[in-house]
Amino acid sequence: MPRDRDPLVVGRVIGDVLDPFTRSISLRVTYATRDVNNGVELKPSQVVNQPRVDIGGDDLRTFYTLVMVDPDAPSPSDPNLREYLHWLVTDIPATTGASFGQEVVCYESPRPTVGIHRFVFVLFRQLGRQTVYAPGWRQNFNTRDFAELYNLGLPVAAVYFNCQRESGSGGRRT
Amino acid sequence: MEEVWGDITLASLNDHPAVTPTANPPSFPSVILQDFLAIPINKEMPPTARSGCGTSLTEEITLFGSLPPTPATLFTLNARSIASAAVKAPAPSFPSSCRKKGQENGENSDDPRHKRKIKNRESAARSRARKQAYTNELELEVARLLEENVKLRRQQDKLLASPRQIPKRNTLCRTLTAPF
Repeated sequence: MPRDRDPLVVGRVIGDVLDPFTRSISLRVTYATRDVNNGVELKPSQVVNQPRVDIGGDDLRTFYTLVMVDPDAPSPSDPNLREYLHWLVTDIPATTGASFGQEVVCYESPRPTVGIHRFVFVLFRQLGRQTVYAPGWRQNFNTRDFAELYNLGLPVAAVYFNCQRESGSGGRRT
Repeated sequence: MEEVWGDITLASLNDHPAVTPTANPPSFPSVILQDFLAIPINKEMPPTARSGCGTSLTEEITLFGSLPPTPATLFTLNARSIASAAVKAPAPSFPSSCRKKGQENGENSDDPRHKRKIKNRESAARSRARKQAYTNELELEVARLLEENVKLRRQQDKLLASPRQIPKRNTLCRTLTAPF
C-alpha cells in the first residue's frame, strides 16, 4: 500500500518512534478478547494486564524482541518523557508468544492522565539469543537507540492503540 | 540546513563579534544578519533577498563581496543567533518581513493566547491524524478479511465438490474385523 496511507505513518508512529520498515512477521496482540488493530481505542481498565502476544515466523531457532512504549508521556502536547517503556521481552522464539520469552522489563499498565496516548508494540528480530540489559528507568527510553545498541536492525512488525484516562472525554465518538 | 548556515562564515574571527548594530548598514563592516534584515526594505536590498533562505543569502553575500575584502568583514552568519531571532515563529522565515497576517510581532507574542492557539492547532492535527489512521486501518482490515473470505469459500467449494477421496477409517467394517 502507498506509504503515506499506512496507519503507522498517518498516526506518526513512524516518525516519532520508528523509522520506515517493511512488515515481515505477523504480530498479534490481544487484550482479553480484543485484538489490537492500529488506532483502536482501549481503556486503561481493558489493558491492566499484559496482553497475549503471538508472533509469526517459521523457525523456532529465530528469536525476537518485543518492546512496548508510550511516546506521548506524560502528555501528547508535551511529551518530555518520550518514550516511556512499558514492557520489554526478549528471546521470544518464532511462532510462539511473549510468555515464552525473557521478560527484561515487566509489564506496567498504561495509566495516561493527560490527553490521548499512543501505545506502541514493536517487534525486532534478534541475530541470536542475546543478553539485553534493562535500562535504569522507564522514561526517556529510545527505541531507535535500543535497536542500534543491540544490533536489532529495523522492526519486523509494529502495532499501536490509543488510550486515555478512564473518564476521559476525547477520542472517537462511538 | 543548520549545517549550511554554520559553514558560511566570512569572518576571520570565529567568536561572536561584538558588533555595533547601529552602524550605517551601507557602510557596512560590522553588521549581523538580523540587523541587516531589520533595515527598511527600500535600501539597497533587492526584493528577492527577503524571500527564501539559501539563495537569498548568497545574494546578500555578493553585495558585500564587492567591497574591499581584506578588512575583517565581521559578517558572520551564526545559525543560533538566527534561530533566536526567529523567536516565536516556528518556521525558518525572517522575522519581520514575511508575516502575511499584517500583525506585527507585538500582538503575536501575546503569549498565553498565541501559545494556546498553537497548542490547539497541534491537538486538532493529532486528532485528525488519529481519525485518519484508524479509518485507514479499518479499510485495510476489511480488504484483508474479504480476501480471506474469498479464499476460504473457494477452499470449501473445492472440498465439497470432489467426492470424498479419503476413506473413512473409524467406521466398523465387518470384513476387517472378522477373524478369518
